Order: sequence, then C-alpha cells, then structure tokens
Amino acid sequence: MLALAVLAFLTPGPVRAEAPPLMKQSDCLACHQPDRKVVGPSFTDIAGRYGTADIPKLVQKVKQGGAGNWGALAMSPHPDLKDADLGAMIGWILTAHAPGANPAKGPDVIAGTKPGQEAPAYRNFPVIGSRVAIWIVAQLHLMFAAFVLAVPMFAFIIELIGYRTKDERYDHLAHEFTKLLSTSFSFTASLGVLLSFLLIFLYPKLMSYMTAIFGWTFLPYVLLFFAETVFLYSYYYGWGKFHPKVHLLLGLGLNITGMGILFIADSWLTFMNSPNGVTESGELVNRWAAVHNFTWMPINVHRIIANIAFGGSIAGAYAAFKFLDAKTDEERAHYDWMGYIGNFIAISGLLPLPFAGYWLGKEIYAYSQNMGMTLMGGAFSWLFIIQAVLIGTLFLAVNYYLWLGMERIEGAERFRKFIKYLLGGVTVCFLVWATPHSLVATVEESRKMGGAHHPALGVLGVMSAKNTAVNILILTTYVSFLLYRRGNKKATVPWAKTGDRIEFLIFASSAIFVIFLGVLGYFVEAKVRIRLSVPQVAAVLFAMISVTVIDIFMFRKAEITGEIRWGKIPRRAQYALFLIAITFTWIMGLMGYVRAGIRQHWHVYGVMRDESINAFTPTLGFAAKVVSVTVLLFFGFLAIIFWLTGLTTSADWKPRKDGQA
Amino acid sequence: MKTALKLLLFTLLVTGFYTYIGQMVPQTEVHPPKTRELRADMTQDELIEAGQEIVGGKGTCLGCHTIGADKPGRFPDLGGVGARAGSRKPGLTDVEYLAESLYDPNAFIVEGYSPGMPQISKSPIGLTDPEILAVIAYLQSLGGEPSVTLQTHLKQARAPK
Repeated sequence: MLALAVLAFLTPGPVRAEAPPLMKQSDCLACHQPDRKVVGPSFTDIAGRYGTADIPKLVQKVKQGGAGNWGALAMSPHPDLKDADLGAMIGWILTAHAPGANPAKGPDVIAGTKPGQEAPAYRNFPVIGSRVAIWIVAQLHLMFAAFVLAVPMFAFIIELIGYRTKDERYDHLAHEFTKLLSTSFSFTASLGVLLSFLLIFLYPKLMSYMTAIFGWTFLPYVLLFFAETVFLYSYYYGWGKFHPKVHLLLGLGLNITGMGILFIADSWLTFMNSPNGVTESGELVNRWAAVHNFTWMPINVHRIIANIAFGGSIAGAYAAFKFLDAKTDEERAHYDWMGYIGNFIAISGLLPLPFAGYWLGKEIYAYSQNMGMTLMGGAFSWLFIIQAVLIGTLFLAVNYYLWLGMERIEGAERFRKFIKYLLGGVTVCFLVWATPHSLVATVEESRKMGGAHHPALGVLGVMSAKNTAVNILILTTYVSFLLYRRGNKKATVPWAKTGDRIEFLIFASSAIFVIFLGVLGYFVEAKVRIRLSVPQVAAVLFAMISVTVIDIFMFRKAEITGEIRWGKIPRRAQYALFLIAITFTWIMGLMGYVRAGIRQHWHVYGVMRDESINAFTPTLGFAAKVVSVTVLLFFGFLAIIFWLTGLTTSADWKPRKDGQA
Repeated sequence: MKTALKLLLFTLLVTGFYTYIGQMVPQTEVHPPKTRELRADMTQDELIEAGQEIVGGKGTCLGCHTIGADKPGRFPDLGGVGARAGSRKPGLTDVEYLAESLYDPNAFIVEGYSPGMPQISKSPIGLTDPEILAVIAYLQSLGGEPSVTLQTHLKQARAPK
C-alpha cells in the first residue's frame, strides 16, 4: 500500500510534479518552502540529504517531531496524520525536489535583451507602426522647432526697429512674441527627445549607421543647445533689465545659436536624401562632405525662409485668438496690430519661398535625375496639385485679409473698386495652377476627350501655365499690399503722377512679359521651355523691388489723409489669419512628407535600403490623413501654449489675504 | 471659451477640407521593385519579356523615356532604338552601343538632348549584369533583331566574383 503510493510519485516528470492535495491541507507549508529555508529546511535541501529509502524513517520523524538534524528549532509532532498519507507527501517532497528532477529553468526572458547581442534592424511600434510614429513625432518636432527659430528672428528685428524709432510699441510687441517662445522651446526639446528615443528604439540599425557618420556633430549640437538655452532665457527674462544694445546682442546670440542647431540637424536629414562623402557601399570618406551634401544649403535656406513665414502666421493666429477673445477696444487695437504684423512677416516669407523651393528642386535634379523624376513625375506629381490648392487658398486668404484691413484705414475706400479685379486675377491664377496635367478619367471619358488631357483645360495643366499663374499670383498679392500701404497716404512729391505711371508701367510690362513667356513655352522644345521660368521669376522680382524703391521715395513725406483705426476690422478677418496659419502648417506637413518620401524604399538614398515592412510609399490619401492628424496635434499643443502664455500676464503670486499664505 | 470652441471647429473644418482634397487625387501605393530571377536556360523571348519588365519596373527607365510617343520629351524616345543602335556611333555594334549607353550613359548624348541619365548599374537603381543583358535584349527587339543572351559577354560587365 505504502510502496504503491511511493511508486506513484517516483515517476519523474519534466516539470515538478503537482503536490498531493494533502500538502495543501496540512500545515507543512507554514514552515517549509520548496526552494528556500524558512523555519524548517527547504524541500530541495531535504531531498538533497535523503533518498526514497529513508521514507519509513522520515514518516516516524514527522509524526514525532523534534530538533537536532537541521538546527535548534524543533519541528512540531504530527500524530494525526496517517502513515500512508505521510508516505505520499514525503515521497513527493523527495522525488519532486531531488537534484536533477527539475532541470534548471530560469525565468521567462524577453527575446532580444541579452547583453552584447546584436540589435535587430527594426522594432515595431504598436497599432500605427514605426513609420507613422516617427513621421508624426518628427513633423511635430519640426513644426515647433520652426516656430522657435522663427520668433527670435522677427522679435530681434522688431526690437531693433523699436530701438531705432524709440517707439515703445515695437518693444512691447517684440516682448510679446518672445513670451510665446519659452513654453514652445520646452515643447520642442521634449519632442526632440521623444524623436531620438523612438529612432533609437525603432530603427537601431539605421541609427547606428547615422551615428557612425555624424557622431562627431553631436557634441557641437548639444553645446549650441546649451548656449541657445542661456541666450533664450536671458533674452526673455532680461527684457528691460540690460542696456538695449546688450539685450539686442543676446537676441543676436539666440538667433545665431538657433541657426547653428538647424544647420547641424539639416545635415543629418539631407544626408539621408542626397548622401555625399561616402563610398558606393556607404563608408565614410570625408566628414565635411557628408555635412555639405547637395541638398544641405538649399534646405537650410528654404527652411529659414519658410520658418519665418510659418512663425509669422502662428504669431498671427495667436493675435487673432486674442483679438476674438478681447474684452476692451484697447486690447482689440493691440491684437489687431499684432495680427497685422504677424501676417506681414508671413507674407514677407511667403513671397521668396517659391524661389528657394525652385533652387532646392534644381539641386535634387542635379544630384539624381531619378529622384527628381520621382518628385515631379511619378505618383508624387499629384502632391503638387494638393499643394497648389493649399497655396492658392493661402494667397486668397492673404489678399482677403489685406482687403478687409483697408476698412480700418480712413481714406482707403477709394481703392475698394479695385478689389473685384484683384479677386478675379487671384481666382483665375488659382484655377490654372490647380489644374492637373493629366486628368483622372475612366477609359470612356478619356476617349471622349481624345486623350488624358482635357480639350480646353488640358493645355493649362502644364508647367508653363502653372509658372505663369504663380508669378501673376505673387504680383497680384503685391499690388494688394501696395494699395493697402497707400490707404491713408497722399504723395506730395511733385513727380507723384509720373511715379504712379512708372509703377503701373513696370507692373503691366512684367505681367505681359511673364504671360508672353508662358505662352511661348507651348511653342518651344522642352529643353528651352524649362529655362523660361528663370526670366519669369526675374521679371517679377524686378517689378517688386523697383516698385518698392519708387514707392518708398514717393511716400516719404506723404500727407496722411486719415488715421489707421486699429481694432476696427471685421471679426472674419481674424478667421482669415487663422486659416493662413492652418494652411501653412498643413503645407509644411505635406512638403515634409514629400521631402522624406522621395527617398522611396531607401533610408539613405542609394546607400542603405529600407528592408522593413514600411518600405513602400503610401498613397497620397493616407499621407493627407497623417498630415491632418499632425496638424491637429500641433494646434492642440499650441492651444496649451497660448493658454500658458496667457497665465504670464496675470499677476504674480501674492500671499492670501487671510494670512495662511 | 466660446472663441476657443469656434476656432477649434474652424480648424477641424479646414483640416477636413484638405484631407478631402488629399483623397481626390489618384491613390497609388508604390512598392519597392521586385527582383525577377533570370535563369541561364531562358529562351530569347523570355529574356526579352524579362527585359521589358525591368524597363518598366526596377530600371525606372519609363520615368524619363517614352517608347513610341508622338511628341519628343525631355529624353530620347526609345521606339525603334533597336534599328538605330548599330549606326549611332561609328565602330560600335548595336549591342556595344546599347551596353555603353547603359553602363556609361553620358559617353554619347543624342543630338538635341542634355545629359541627365544616371548610371543604372549603380545604386540606387543597381541593375545587375544579367538584368542589363535582359534590357539590351528588349531594346534590340524594338525595331531590331535580338541577339543577346545571358551568355553574351559585355566588356563593361563586372568580373564575376
């Protein structure tokens, strides 16, 4: 009987055999544990000392209890237990815990965590996947960084204007812009850290290569970052506490360090687009050449200009929000003015932007014809139709805001009759620009049209027409601005009439020239056609610069016929400002996508392939959704920043009146 | 608070509009090129077919070149190139000329065009020697008589490792 019970437990299993039910009912476990000594010795220790032959002896021992074998503490006697039950229990203790009965099985480890083990090429981010995670965080980081770099640029210039003109309003405005900075700065840094963490975790192999190429730039980057922090906070908190010149110098330092950071970060991402200074297999030959690659400078310049436009528009959105929320006329007047300045900065950045973009595009082609064709010819070509809709909206909103702005200027009524023509011009240009080169049509439809091109509109969809439309759009916007500027002024110089005529002549002739070249583009071969955009751009630049110069001299001592009633602007003008900010942000998301997207299935173009499940290029519709999510997140963060900035204007902490502090 | 809500609604509307525009354009997903296995015992027709696939796919040739277009584009049309190739450059047979154009595209520029073609045997396109042979076979078939097989040796080809 006893032997049978013992035998039942002698069969060893790979895993420790289940304890007999009696074990749990008795009080053994109060003093004994399987693997460690508690009051009495562990089962493992017991099984180490005795064999199954000792079972009868041990049965008696448990029944009687006692001390001496393992230590001074006595085991209590267990006279109630039956011999057979005890034999089964002891049998289990000895067999299930015998040395070798349980092959050492460590805790369940998480794969890929062994020290010294080679890292996997990719890890996955849950639900949305690694690519989308990096995409959104990188874009958000970039948007905040753009804002943080842009604001010091115009805060510095506005402060300088205030210092030169002794007009305190400018100093206050510069300070208010800077107020938006400190919170944004922390957001930028936090997002940057998040981006780095994600990159290291999700793309270890790529990051290890990038570190090998650019590791030496990390220290200067961090040092510049420290310097920027010092400059930023001394500039912000030191307002009015230093000599204006010292303060301006701090602002300059802030701008220079910020720009240095941008240039270093740009070298990393432009290297991924147009690697340089490495052999065909990707090994580094020349550190500086890797930094100074084909698209580095064009991206630097393009980003600086775009940052100004973007930063201005966000500052404008802040002013719009404050205007709409304002309680007093005084506040409204202030924020109307701030919104106007923000918008002015945005336009100043917007007008030269296409030229910088053109240079970047040219460098991309020069670097790789293939990448150029991917950009302009493949699936991405439709992205530029989306872009056209966005920029068209932007120009419409900018013009609309200027026209509404004339309502706050006494005497500007006389220009109102021109607005409908300007609107007509902007609309026509917008439509031409947004006309696709080849239309999306079913086979049936294209047969009816006699090809993929629309019989009438099709001819408008090519580059010549688009370039022409954009150039005219820029000219029209400039005319809107000029009319706005003249709103309450009357030239007193004797040559005013002649000046007007010359300006008109310059506008008319440059417009005719631009349109002429646009039409000519249809009649010449491609090789000539692609060069026509240069004189078009030159004509527009010439017109804008020469007219500005004439206008400055003409209105230098102009008679002021009416005042600008700041704050007297329709509320819908503030929505136009907001529209400009949203549109800018969206364009930035879209262009950021194409900049990275043209690498297609490469991490580092032509050098390191994307072997992950995300190597494909998603549809534009998908990209549009990701961009929208990013834009909404950005505005969500922005709302927090606006709110926090609002807190700084409320009074500082004061002890409570009831004396409890 | 009311202002904030209005602006939120406005932001949602504008963003929604742009998302909608994004859905209105053609939706294509571009996948990394697939590499087709070239077997040594392929027939001439199979090789030409493989070449055609490479020209439209991995080679990305059709991003710039047309085949039999009525209007000249920015880069030479390839329609009938098989017939022209033998007489383009004195001293070069059609195979030699096509091989040179593929391995060293700027060695000879067709009159009226500007240089711009990348070296397709190198990254990022990175066609292998057999793949280039397939492309040559296909190009020969455009108006000419295909003679290239996978056994053909081109002097530009890299030494087999």
